[in-house]
Amino acid sequence: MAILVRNNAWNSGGDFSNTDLLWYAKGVGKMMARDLNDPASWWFFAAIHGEYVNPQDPWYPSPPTFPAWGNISNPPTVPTTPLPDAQTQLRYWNQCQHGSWYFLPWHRGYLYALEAQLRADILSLGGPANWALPYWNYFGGAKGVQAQMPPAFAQKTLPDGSANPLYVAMRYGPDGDGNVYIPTVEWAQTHPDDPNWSSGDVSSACMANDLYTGSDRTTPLPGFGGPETAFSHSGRVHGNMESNPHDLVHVYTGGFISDTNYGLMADPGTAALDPIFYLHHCNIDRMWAAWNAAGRTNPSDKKWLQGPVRQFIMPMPQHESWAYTPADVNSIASLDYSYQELDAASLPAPSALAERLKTLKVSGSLPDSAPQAHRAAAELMGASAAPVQLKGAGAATASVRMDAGEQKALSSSLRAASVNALPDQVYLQLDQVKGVLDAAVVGVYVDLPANPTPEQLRASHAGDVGLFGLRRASAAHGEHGGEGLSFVLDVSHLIDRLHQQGRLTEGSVQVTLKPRRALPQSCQIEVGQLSLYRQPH
Amino acid sequence: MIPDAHDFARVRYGVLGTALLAWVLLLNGHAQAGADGLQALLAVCSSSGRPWFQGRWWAWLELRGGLPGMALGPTMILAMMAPLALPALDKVWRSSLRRRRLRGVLLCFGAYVGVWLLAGAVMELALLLWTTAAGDLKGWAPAACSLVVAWIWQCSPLKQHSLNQCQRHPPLAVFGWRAEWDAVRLGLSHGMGCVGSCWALMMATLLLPQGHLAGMALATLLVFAERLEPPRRPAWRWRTMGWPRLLRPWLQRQLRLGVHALLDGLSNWAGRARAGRTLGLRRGG
Repeated sequence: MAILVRNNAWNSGGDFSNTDLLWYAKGVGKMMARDLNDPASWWFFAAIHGEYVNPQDPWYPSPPTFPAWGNISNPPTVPTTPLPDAQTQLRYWNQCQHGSWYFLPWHRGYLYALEAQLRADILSLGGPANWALPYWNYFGGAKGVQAQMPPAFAQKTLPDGSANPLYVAMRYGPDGDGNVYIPTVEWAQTHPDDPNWSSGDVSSACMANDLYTGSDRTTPLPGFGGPETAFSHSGRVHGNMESNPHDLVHVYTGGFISDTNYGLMADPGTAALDPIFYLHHCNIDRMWAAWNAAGRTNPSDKKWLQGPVRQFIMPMPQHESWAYTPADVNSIASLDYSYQELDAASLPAPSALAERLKTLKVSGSLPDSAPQAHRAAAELMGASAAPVQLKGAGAATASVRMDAGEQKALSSSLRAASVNALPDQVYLQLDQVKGVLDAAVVGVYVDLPANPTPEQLRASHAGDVGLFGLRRASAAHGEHGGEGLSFVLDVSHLIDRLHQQGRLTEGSVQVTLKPRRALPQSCQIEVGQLSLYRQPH
Repeated sequence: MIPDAHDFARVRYGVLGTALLAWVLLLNGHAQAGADGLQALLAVCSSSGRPWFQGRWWAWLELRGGLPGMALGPTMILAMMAPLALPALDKVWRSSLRRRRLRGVLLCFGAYVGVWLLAGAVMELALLLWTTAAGDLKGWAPAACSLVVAWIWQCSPLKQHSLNQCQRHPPLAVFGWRAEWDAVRLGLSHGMGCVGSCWALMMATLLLPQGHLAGMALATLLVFAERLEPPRRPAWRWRTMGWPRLLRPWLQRQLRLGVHALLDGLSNWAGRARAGRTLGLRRGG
């Protein structure tokens, strides 16, 4: 079978001069014309990822308001009937894997199936037999210019004057004003005067990881691809690639106006209704393929290769279905497709550990080492005493108390650090994060002074967490009993600084949480607990 | 933090080993006491021949087969319900300082088992009162009635609510007496969710006039299979008592993984043996 090539959506300026996008629009239009219960319909495919159309689901809003599908502003006009029978829903719908090592392979199969359906429809409309899904490389272009959404998605009509199926009303962007771009590091550098962004959140730093699951000296927990789990529709801790850029691109593309009016892309139960979703995931898949092309390997563990107990299954054209495992989608070559850009040489060089050793005044160069997961578990050092509430634009600071014994062990490791005795890794966990506004992003800071300057913000910045999946994870009768989301951030470099200042012995660490944009008045996000963990090498 | 399968292995195997030991004791009691022996022992727990009704309360201590009568109830609970405590124990393990971890796990487990012992005592009392009012309950009729009640309960929203509660584990305090108290509280709430979910099935097994062990084994399988299903909104729902949809694929998957692990192990052993022989030849040469 000929190798199909997925091309950059920004080719030919990213508008409908790019025939990949024009045919994509036509194919989407044909799929949108089908009924909700037709496995070849746009809506059915969206529900495979996640849906708010069945009132029996534990996450369905009660009383029915957005994001229930019947409350979505058009375009598109989203149907809510006829529902497929219960068995079909149980088999196909709400399958998407998040917070799991299955995140990448499940989405690869999902894209493959959708692409097959689109290609069949495009062919029936007179389009090319070698059409393939384009990708949106928000890291691409000179000075990060491709961080902007391709213009074809912002146009309300196609060149022939008919309605553009790629245009969606509920897509608000990071500033909530309809201008959709991704605040990457490069983008922020080229917009120094934008008051919203002192630094770019979204990065491809995860590509420096060398371990799919677990951690080693180059890869922080929980690994590039995510933690080992069972079938995980609403997982807890997201993998490094999933956290950034995946989650952040979702919530920044969607954006919000209010807690009952946020972009489709921001919530897993509406995201796949937006055609930009598949271009985003095509880029995630491309990044995974590039990571493999650079010599990084996927797990050989049979538990990963065979997939979870509940199988992954997709509808295919001609009323067929395809049950697959991660072993079946382990490489893009096995699926007969490739990407226009798959440049392994562009992967960032790992430098976090080298920076740490410089901070700790350790001399010498690191010996080479092959990727190998740590055997030592991460030990709890301490935690906050009470939940933290986030409201409005205000920051909230919590004190994370450290156990004296664990703090001594950490200090000892940092003092004795050398190129042959690497310092402990330190992680901050935000646990049981609950709320209903998936479109929010929360900045996390360690030891942030009051009234910080932009430089102080950058110096204390631990990371940003996009709350993609928050509503479903917080549903009282949903998966994990409504325990909300969990996030793990590597704060080793910030703890090193405290150690060098002699302040680690204070017995606690101050953690500040600040929403990137002011939350709507009626909206509150709760962080159940902040805890610190140390992991010896 | 992210669950570490290796780190928690000691606790997991400890709990599963305890459950296995409990099953062995029950089966040993059955074997030593003869085919009817354990039936007679379990009849002490079931509706027929209530010894204290007949003034023979000391019959609880008279056992053939070496199994202390007072320990029969806890043994049954450990056999059937101990593995269901693992999610709560895992939460305590991950959320505790290393020096307090084992203490937290034991407190949580103790609270969980305590809830079940209390529930067992309440069920026994209920049967005693029923027997006092209605006379001895012989034959299959009481068991059949209890199975109908159990099935109605299985389909009820309260059943789903209890099942969902088993998945709910709030943050735990890390320092001071609150850390121990939160571990106990988790064990209590997890136990109450478990009792709420499974009490009807337990009652049905108690009322079986014969085939207790088989009934216990089936109930254990069903209860385990239910935990493979994701949580759902509490509602009246048709829920069969038969072969849950995920149990067969789960067993097939475990079998495949087990076979692969065995083949990998054999392959590694063969490789080491070949290396050893080669080394021997070199030494000899």
